[in-house]
Amino acid sequence: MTSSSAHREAVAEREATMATVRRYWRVYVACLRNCLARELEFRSSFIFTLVSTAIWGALSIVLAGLVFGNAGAIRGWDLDRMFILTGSFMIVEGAMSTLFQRSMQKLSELVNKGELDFVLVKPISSQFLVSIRYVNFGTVPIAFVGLFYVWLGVQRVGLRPGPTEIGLYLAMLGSAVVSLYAIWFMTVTLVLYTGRIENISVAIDPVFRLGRFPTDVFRGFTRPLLVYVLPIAAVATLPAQALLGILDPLLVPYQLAMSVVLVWVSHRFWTYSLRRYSSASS
Amino acid sequence: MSLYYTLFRLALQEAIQYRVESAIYFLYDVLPPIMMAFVWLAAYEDQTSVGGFDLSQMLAYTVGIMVLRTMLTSHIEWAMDHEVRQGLLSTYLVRPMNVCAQWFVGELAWKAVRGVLVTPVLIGSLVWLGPYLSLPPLDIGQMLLLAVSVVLGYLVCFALKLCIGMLVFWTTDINGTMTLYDVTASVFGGVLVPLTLLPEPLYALAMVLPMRAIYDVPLGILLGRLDGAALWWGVASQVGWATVLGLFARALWQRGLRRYEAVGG
Repeated sequence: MTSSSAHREAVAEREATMATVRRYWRVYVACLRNCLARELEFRSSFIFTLVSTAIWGALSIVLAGLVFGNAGAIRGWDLDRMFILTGSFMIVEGAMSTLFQRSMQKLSELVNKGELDFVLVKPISSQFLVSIRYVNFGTVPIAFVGLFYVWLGVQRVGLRPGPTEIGLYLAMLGSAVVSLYAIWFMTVTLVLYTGRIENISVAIDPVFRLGRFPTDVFRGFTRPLLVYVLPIAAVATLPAQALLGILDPLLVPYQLAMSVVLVWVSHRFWTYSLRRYSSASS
Repeated sequence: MSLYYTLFRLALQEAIQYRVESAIYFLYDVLPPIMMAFVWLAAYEDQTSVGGFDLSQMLAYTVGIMVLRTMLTSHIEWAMDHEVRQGLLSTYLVRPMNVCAQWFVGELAWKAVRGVLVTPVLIGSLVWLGPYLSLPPLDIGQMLLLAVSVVLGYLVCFALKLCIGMLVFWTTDINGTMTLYDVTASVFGGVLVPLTLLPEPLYALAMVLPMRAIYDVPLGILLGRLDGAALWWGVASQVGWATVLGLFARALWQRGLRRYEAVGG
């Protein structure tokens, strides 16, 4: 009798979780469709944006080309390997700006204008909604050009990555995106304490850009800082190392755990900080 | 003159009020050169010269670029874009003053705050990289010339940004133009790497573009890489660009203002 009721409870709990996941997924899809519809309203302008982003994205290799073209290999990284690293950086860059850029920008505006109320009263996690509401399709081409550079680098180095390398590669990229999101979200949450800071949503960008070069070039305290404390190595250096088959295996669970912890911390920080929020009108 | 001094003080108060924003944009100017210093330190482990620069010159160039891009680079085009679009320009136009001069002193105030921010970073960089740096000492004449060249670089950059900002009268969005400028300026102005590292055709192109007159000439004097005719030619090109771009901005301003009236009226 008791065991069957416990079983029924477990089943009910699992179904409730699944229902929640489905509900969040439906909300996410609705946001995606809404944002895509808005982009397609001005179709020629949207296509122009896609093409020009792809061209600017392609120029990302110029910096590596100038440095490594003149200096040759630096700490084991030559221009061919830099194609893999730069391409990986662009995939993360494209993913971050597509998924979160506009939402983070909007979040700081919501707080400043006292319009966060409209989010808080909705029957869904407020962190979820403010983080995913606005998807920016215009920056998707950066990730595709990045993918092309990775492919090019793999050909030039002559790699034959197997399922392990590709799996680790994707795991590192994924953990980088999640960790960066958490840190980005926390920096924007600071606006609840400081009041208006117009460019708070781009404050993480120059730090993120440190990922364009292999973390191996850093020395002293800066290298451990970028590998273990900030997810900067995970943006491009660790994924590239995964494809090259030279990734330190201990870093894989560490980076994955770091992304989980950072998201958890960002959530605690958000719920704690919301107490500071006192609308604007009343 | 006292009018513009007052405007400067007002702009300074505003710039200090927005010090956190300034500090965030400041990261965009200082983090890339600091990263490049690490890259070069690693690159010179296997060689003594890259593109004709030894380690000492390369690091001095990198620190120099950090200071110059913080201190010389105007961002006046964003203020112009904002003020013209919001119609704030109308209130400026009815005041008995030169609007471009007001933008100029306003920009100086923002640069003063950047100067306060960059000083500790510069001192830190010199402590860190000092052991690697051994530059030929400059005599009094060269120091004076360096100071003049830095001021001229500032004027060239301001005039160039003024021209770009004037586009706001003709286009609906200057973001695209700004991205174009940022990419070309960072490659052809020597912001990413010294110009001698560019492949030959790009180097030749860089030499005839105005961006060269902003950072490359002052840094050439600092590193002792410019002498004789090249030195005077470099400074003359700065004077030339500042004048040409200034006059061009003036012509654009006169034409643009007519369009602004047409739209606003």
